[in-house]
Amino acid sequence: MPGRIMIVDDAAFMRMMLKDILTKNGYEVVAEASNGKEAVLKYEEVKPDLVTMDITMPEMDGITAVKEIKKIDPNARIIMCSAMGQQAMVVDAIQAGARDFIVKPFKPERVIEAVKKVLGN
Amino acid sequence: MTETFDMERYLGVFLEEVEEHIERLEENLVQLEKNPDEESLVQAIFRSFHTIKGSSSSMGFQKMMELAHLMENLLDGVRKKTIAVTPELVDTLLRGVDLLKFMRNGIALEGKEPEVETGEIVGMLQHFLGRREKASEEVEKKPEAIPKEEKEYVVKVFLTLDCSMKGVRAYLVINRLQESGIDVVSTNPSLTDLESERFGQSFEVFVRTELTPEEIKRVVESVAEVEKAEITAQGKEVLLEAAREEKKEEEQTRAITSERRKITGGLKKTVRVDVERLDALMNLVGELVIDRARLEDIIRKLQESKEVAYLRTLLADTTTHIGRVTNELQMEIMKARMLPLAEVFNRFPRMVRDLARNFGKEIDFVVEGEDTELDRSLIEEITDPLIHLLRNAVDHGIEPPEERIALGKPPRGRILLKAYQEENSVVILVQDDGRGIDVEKIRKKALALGLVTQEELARMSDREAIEFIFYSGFSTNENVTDVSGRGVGMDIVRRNIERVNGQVHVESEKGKGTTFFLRLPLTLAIIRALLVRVNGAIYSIPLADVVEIEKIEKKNTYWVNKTLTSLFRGRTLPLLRLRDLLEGKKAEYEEGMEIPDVLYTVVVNTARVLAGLVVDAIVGEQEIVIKSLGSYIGDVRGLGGATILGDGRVSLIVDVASLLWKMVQVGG
Repeated sequence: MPGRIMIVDDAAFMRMMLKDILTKNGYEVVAEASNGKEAVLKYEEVKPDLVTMDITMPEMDGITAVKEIKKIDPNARIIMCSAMGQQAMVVDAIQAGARDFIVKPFKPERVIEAVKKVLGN
Repeated sequence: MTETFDMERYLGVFLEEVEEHIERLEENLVQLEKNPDEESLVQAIFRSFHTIKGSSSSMGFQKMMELAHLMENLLDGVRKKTIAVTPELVDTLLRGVDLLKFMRNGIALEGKEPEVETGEIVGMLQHFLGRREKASEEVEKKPEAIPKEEKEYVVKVFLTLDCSMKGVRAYLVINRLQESGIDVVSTNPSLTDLESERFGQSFEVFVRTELTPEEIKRVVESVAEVEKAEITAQGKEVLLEAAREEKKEEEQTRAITSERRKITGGLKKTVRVDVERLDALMNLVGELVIDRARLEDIIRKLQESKEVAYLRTLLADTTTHIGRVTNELQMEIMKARMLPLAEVFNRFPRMVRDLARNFGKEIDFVVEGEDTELDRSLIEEITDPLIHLLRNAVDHGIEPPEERIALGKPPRGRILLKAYQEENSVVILVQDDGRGIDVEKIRKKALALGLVTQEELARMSDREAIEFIFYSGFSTNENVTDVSGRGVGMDIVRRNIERVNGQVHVESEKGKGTTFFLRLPLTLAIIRALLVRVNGAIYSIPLADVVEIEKIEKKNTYWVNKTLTSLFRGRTLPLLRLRDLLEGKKAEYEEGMEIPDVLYTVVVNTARVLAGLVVDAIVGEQEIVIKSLGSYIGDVRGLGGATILGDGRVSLIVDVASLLWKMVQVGG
């Protein structure tokens, strides 16, 4: 069963790419945010089934955003989008409650696998 | 042979960890009694029991495991709010923790579980559990009281070929397993290797769980980029063998626990360092400090000649640099030797609680400043004095509730244990809002014991008189209880504190309460000292004992009781020749003796004695490294050790307290 997804990334290009991958596979992108702060606000508003979260962003970084979202919704399902070399931050994000992570550059099949597994479908 | 060795190392970690958890449990349980709704406390207690259960079971300590498991279940009930937190429950849990402690200590001594009757406690625990199970039967029917259901498995995890960040991936898998309530015993390769990606496409995790293999498989395969998971059942022996096999298994368990801690919420990050190693480092730093002083000495000498200007600058620069480096090094090593006072403070809430219950007192025990750090050898030394002071506060200080109400005080007494840093020392105070010390009683007793004469007593202020409680054999308490009031205690407190160059003093107001102040140096190894010359040799007097340096002229001296004295801040200052004091001879100037025109006097105040030590010359002030005199010389009254000066000469360190003690003995 496809789900409703929110994409968080400060790069419009990345958002576009992810959106393409997701929509092609039948997922609905219900919201986009370009920083952590916006992500937290929109999460409350649209209550997506899943969030893809970039780590390095202006205003509020992805790890803080994970913590904030987890406060609003402890069951929130979040996948971290990480660049190479961000191991430590990914670990932080997992500790903060992120369910899984994908590594840039994205391979469509890996993105979909992670989304499927996290959504349990 | 290696195997037993490894097992021993493994045991060490186990014991250490269990001890840590037991301490934390005592602290947290006492807190829980006060704040029964504090969820983070319940979680922390639950985790401690859980960890003890897990590790004792992998070590094969069956009784310990069962006990921990029972208590874990109780806490689970508390967590789900099916069991209420009552003083009785806390009592029982604390008794259970005592039993765990007993088992742990038995294991530490004999390497196996001690023979101990657990029936009573287990019965009591089950009683609480039973109540809960009845209450929650309709809600959920999940009997989890039998630990035997847990089985061991090897989980082999295969990652996809193009998996990136394998280390984090492995971490996520282990994290997911733990989140699902599965105990991770160890991994192959070790967790450290896993995290630094030193493995191929697969790794193994040894787990213990009630879940079925299918369920474990599902948990692992819910992680992205996991190709598949293979689950194989393991006997306990095999599992243990696997755990022992690896040479690094100790680090693994440690790493896993530390990871678990990271996940489950911020406990302090510590590195265990052998104290001996620290001592060795401290010694080396000490050598450097000496070298620095030696270089400074060379510069001083060079400054007298003029041809070597260039060399002099060079040397001065180098010396400055070495000075900076040694300072930093010294600070770092000192810091490494420091432990937060929480190490001892954390044991006290439990103790105070138990004592209060014993004596029928109601007490709010407040601990402040437990983050203040102190040299670890000092921490050991102050534990007993603090126990004494706290026991006294509970027993003698705080009144029973009825008495307090009659006095118009709140029924609950308050004991404050507080630490803070003040310049180069740490102050610890123990304060109660109880009866206070009756100075009149103390005066009478001091007189009765012949410690003072009537006139002396009349001159003494209350503040001074109160210090008599530190004399041995002094107690004003009529009824002797089993913890205090035997007239021992306060003198021991003072002796212990003074042995580590600390000071103790007391302030009290009748009816309002008592405060004890312990002032301790930050470290024992390096002190600032005053260098003086006596009889051609240089002696070091710890600056902590020095009140002032006085150049006393002959015309400003007086004869009192046939001994030479001077006035110091309105008080009579006996003048004593340090040279004779050190030799154990009579050191007072007597009538008929030749008195020099100028007396270079070091005014010291310690052990309640104010005295002026007359020396040949004052050399200077310097940081010195204390070296012991060595066992073949042993304890020398009046000397606290030796140090090496800049020019390579040895200087003996004067132990003022014991020196003046001797003076009191000789003089009268």
